[in-house]
Amino acid sequence: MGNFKRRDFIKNTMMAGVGASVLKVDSLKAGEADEVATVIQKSASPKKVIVGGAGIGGLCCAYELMKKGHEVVVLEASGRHGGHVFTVHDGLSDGLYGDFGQEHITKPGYDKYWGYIKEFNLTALPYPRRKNILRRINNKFYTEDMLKDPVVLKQFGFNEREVKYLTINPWWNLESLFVNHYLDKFRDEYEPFGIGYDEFDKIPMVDIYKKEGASETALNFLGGKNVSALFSLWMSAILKIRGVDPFPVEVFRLKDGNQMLPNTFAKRLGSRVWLNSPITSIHHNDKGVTVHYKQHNEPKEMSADYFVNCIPLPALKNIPIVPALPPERQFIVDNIAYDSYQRFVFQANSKFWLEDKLSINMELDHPDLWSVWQSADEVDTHRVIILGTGPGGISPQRALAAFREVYPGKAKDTIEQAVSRDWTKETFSPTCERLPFPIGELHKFWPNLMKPHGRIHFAGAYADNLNWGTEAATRSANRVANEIDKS
Amino acid sequence: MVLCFSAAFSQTVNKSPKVTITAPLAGAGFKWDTVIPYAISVSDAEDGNSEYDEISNNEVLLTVKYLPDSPSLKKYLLESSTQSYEPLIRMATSTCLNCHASGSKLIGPSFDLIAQRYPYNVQTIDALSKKVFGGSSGTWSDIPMPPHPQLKIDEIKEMVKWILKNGADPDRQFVAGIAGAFRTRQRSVDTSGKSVYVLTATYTDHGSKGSTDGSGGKLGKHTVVLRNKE
Repeated sequence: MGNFKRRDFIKNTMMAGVGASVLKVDSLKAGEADEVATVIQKSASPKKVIVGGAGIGGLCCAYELMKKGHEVVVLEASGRHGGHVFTVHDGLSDGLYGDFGQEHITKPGYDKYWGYIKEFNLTALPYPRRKNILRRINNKFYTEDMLKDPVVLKQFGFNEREVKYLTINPWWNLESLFVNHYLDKFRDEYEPFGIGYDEFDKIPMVDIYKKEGASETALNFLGGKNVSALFSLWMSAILKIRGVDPFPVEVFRLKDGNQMLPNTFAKRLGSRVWLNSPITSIHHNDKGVTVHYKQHNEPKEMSADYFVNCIPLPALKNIPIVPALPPERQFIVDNIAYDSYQRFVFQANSKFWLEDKLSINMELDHPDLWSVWQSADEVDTHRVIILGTGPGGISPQRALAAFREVYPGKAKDTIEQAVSRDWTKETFSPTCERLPFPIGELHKFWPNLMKPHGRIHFAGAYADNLNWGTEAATRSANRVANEIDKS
Repeated sequence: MVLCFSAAFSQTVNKSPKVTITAPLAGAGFKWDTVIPYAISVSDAEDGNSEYDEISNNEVLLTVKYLPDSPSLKKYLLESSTQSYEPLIRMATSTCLNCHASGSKLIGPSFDLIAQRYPYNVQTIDALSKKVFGGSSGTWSDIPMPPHPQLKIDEIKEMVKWILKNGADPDRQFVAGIAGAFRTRQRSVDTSGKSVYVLTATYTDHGSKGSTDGSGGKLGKHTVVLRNKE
């Protein structure tokens, strides 16, 4: 509320309220969006919808609602749209760029996303970041061939069955040895309950591995002490149902950066996307919603038939909802946990690793820098971009020092600069992907997580079964757009 | 020349920052189990003004304390007047609060969970300090806590002590930032409309260059009391 006196505040909101009721959302010119051919259907019962959050979920949902003939406005707190999908060109040379947020998409998988690539005529490039990965294990680097070598595997301490399996299956597929036969019971990828595994929610996944005879070595590599067995099996089953590998190697990214997709949604939506318009409270009843927000620091309000929440839940927690959500729904808002990280971008003036006949796709097992890979390789320059992921709070120079500390070649690297995006420090989008639910608590989150509460619907990266960010965002956005369209 | 020099010299006395809780307003009530957004403004002669993003967001702290009745208010205000915020400020200006908060799990465990699990003693303080310095994983979840080599082990110990001492109180939350929100507790059975929330905003400035008054940063503080209205 800044320095507003209470009386001024009431006056302003009342005026804004009058304005909001007069303002018709569909009377807004969509700006440049008029230039591109978006076929907008006539809806038999057009609704007014306010979407909170202009990340890819919010933009996608608003775009689908617009196409179906509904009036829509997207309110975004920050000064840019795209949220955690963020491509940066600034500060990098020769037209190079880095995806600071979303990394890649898979095929199969990401059906909705691929649909938009086709609809908008975007270009998906093969992204060989997961091919020929060098993995640092116990301070030593291993190629994929080495990790198929029975001698190496025995030295690690795998048992005979595991050694046999890993000599013919990829390293990342070890888990399948223990869980594959559990997965066929899952028929509906949105229904983890009632298939005979309900009790598995109370035990950690590591217990299943043990039951299936996993060696101590396998247990060390697989982890699973802190995740429910039911949740873990369910996630594996979702991938199996979709025909996606547990660790898809064939992955893709968008030419000119993954932000091309949210940019295109936003362009089609035109002036329906309002930036720097943080929501301050959400009021709802059985007939509709009234959303209070600030625009250019002025308090305003707007009414609509529906509100779609595409704001990550840790941020939604700070926005009063009146009347409050019932306790079981508030529990979800309060307890969904996310991961977050930092994306490092190293710009080098050559592919120095080729001198050492190495792959630059590396899992580094270093606390300051977890992995690196090459990106933006289609840009016409001898310079290269190496992307990396590591924890928040580490300076780019420290991450670079970590890379130099463990880089397994003799060549001197040619890295000219190191920059980063530390998502953990972001005000509006510090959260990346949803973490597994705590052991024994799946029923508290699922399926309520996806269900609307009255006139409030939930979409975004958190609001689907699998937590893969843009996949979950586009799927949940379409689900909610259809629900509102049919209501 | 001499006059000019002494004039410049006299300006290096550090002025105190002005901290104001602009929302909620003093005297505003609170209801049970409700989200209350807050906003703090800071202006400081040397550091700048929060309105223009000149104040580091993480250095502005809000302590939210629930008290069941008015008599305990006086006692709390007296006690908290000597409350040291230094370890908390150091945590906020480092990276701690990106992953840890009081009262709710962010990426890492909340301060209250840590304080509930570990007793306050020399061994625990040493062990936890080593974990913070060198990094750790697998204690609370599979997400590793990175090492913090930029911090000195002694200052980490102060932070750990602070968490173990102050983290366990479920009625006290600490948040960083010039704007945010907190949730009031569920209706309490043993109150008769006398319970209060005490909001205390603090900011410690960076002093002025070549400060001559011998102090480090100066603390600006503002307290607002919200009374129960249902």
